[in-house]
Formats: sequence, structure tokens, C-alpha cells
Amino acid sequence: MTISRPLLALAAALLIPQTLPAQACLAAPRTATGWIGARVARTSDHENLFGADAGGRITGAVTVRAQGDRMAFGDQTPTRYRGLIGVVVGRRFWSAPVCFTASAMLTKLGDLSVVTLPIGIAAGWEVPFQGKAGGSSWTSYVEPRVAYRRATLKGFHDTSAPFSMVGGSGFNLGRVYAGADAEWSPSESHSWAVGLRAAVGF
Amino acid sequence: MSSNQSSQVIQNQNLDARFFASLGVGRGQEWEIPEDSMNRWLGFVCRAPAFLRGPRGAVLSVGLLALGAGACDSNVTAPVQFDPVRCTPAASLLVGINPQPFALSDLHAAFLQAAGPIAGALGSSEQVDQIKQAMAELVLPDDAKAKDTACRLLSVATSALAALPDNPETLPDRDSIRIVLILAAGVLAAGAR
Repeated sequence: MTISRPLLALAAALLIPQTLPAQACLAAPRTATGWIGARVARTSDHENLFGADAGGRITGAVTVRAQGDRMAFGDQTPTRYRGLIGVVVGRRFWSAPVCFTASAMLTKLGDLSVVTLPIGIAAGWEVPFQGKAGGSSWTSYVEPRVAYRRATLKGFHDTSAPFSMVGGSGFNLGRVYAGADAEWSPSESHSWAVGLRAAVGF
Repeated sequence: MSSNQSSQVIQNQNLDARFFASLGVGRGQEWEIPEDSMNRWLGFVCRAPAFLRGPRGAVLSVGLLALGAGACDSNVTAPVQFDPVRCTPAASLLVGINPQPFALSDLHAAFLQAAGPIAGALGSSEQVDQIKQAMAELVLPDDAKAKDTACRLLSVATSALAALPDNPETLPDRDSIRIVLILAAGVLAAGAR
């Protein structure tokens, strides 16, 4: 009962858009130029994932972002490396609170190589704090993605169009962002990762 | 012009307007579009964000179609374990089997035999080629990378074997390959413990 109350409050805050005034497609500091960040997460493989990300605002509507992470499995499975580069296109004054994303991701796990080209729609809201904490806010976003995926191994290849979902929620405190994020890939062995992420703007 | 002909002309104008709007050539206000209370599709295009209107919208649409078409291009028989997560041998290969105490490389001769004469006796098909190639590639050193690759190749061979026709004449050869796959899965399962 004590746990359900905060969860209900969080869900209500997320599901009442009329109280959430600003669009936020990215969980990142609101600085003009860009940011760098770090991430640690627990995965469905019961292993820890460590990652880093960086982004740069190219124009008012276009943001370029890059992400990378590694996950060590143990003796039986080689370490997995993932790299992603992509763009987020969106403006705060669009009538719909969404942005469009496109990216290219390369995953290496031993001899297995997976190229994924996801496109997605990011929707999110930013709630500014009133009072002394000027410039701070609470940001939440969710990004469903569909992708073209081609996995290759020793001359075999398998292509598919998987669906995945990423999202996050956290606090912007001046140049710093800190929060939690999650990713879920029902098409890829129902894998998921939930973790913490922090970023510094510049 | 008869009423039938005039309604045909209006219908064609509608189709043309929708076609060009989808390519981003024209927007609703630039085309003489007859009244159509159900023209929600065109309205959706016109209200799309600026970067999706125009030729880029068409390129995006074509790209999505190409992705959808490309997603059907595979040279393996589903299901295979090509997801970038930990690979585990199929449960069907591990039922009632004790994990084997020997190394994957100890099965070298068995893999070659399965990839060559035994698979050759199954005839010629896409699945038989997949079995041959997967079994031939299974001969690998016994490090973590090789074991992961072997596990994924095992899934290729297992799915291809399961997709073969259930012909009584080929049953002994299919069973021989299955035994080799079970032995390999047992080695991988022993290492995972």
C-alpha cells in the first residue's frame, strides 16, 4: 500500500498532459550547445550495462546524438558492444508534443554483427519547478521505435523489423540532468534494461 | 456529359490530388480538390510537420516501404538465435541429456561427418545447405567467442533440420544429425553450468 501511492502519483503526473506545459523529446540538459552523459543499467541477462552518450544541437529543430555501451556476460559469452548515432527532429512549438527520431546502430557480440536502423516518435513533457529552483524541471519521455534489422553470422543473415521502446524520466537542475531510463525490446528475446543516467550540458 | 461521366472525372481528380499530395508536390490549398468530407487522409498530410511535407515525406515513405521489403530477406530458417543477448541451446536439444564433460573441439570429426556424407544423403534443398554450412562452421576453438558462435550456428542447424520434410527414407540421416546437435548442445550446456 505504501509503495502503490507514490507509483499512482507518478502515473497520474505522467498521464495528465494538460498540466504538463512543455514538450521534451530528450532526457538531456537544456543547454544550448549539447551534453555528455553516462549510464549504468541492469539488463534482462542479469548483467550490468555501462554506457556513455553525447549530443549536439545543430539547429533549433535538429539534435544529433551518439550513444555507446558495453555489457560483459561472463565466460560463455563474449562482451557485447553497441554504438548508435542519430538525429532527433522536433520543435517546441509544434502542435503535437512529439519529435521524430532516426538512427543507425551497430551491435557486436563475438562473431555476431547486428545493424539496426530504427525510426521512432518521441513524446515527452517537461514540468518546470516554481520558486527558488529556477531553471530546473522534471522531464519524462517515451519513444516507440520500429526498425530494419539485419543480423549476420558466418555467412548467415537474418533480417527483421523489430519493435522497441525506450523512455526515461529525470530532473534537470541547471546544466545537469539525472534520472532513470529504460529500454524494452519485445522482438529481441524480450530483452530489457533499466538503469540510471546522468548528463552534463555545455 | 452524363452524370456517370461527371462523377468519374471528380473521382479521378480526387485520386490525382491524393497522389501528388502524398509526394509532397501540392498541398490542399494549391489543388482544386472537390468537396470531400471524408478527405481526412489528405488533411493529415497537410497538417504534417514541415520537414515531412514535400519530397522528403515521399523519400521517407519509400524508405519505409524498402525497409519493410528488406525485412523479408533472410538466408536462415526461423527461428534462430541472432539476438545480441546470451545464447542458450534450444530446449528440445537438452531434454533428458546429461551435459557432456568433453570439449566442443572433441566433436570435430562428428561435425565434419554430419556436414558432409550425412547431410549429403538428405538431398538438395535450402535447409540442407544451411545444415551443411552451419555444421562445417561449428569446428571452432573452445573460447567464449567460439562457444557463442557455435550456439547460434546450432540454432541455424536445428531450425533447418526441423523444417525438412518428415520423410521416412531420410529419418536415419536426420536422426544422426540430431544426435550430433544434441552432443554439441550438451557440451555448451556443460560449459554454462
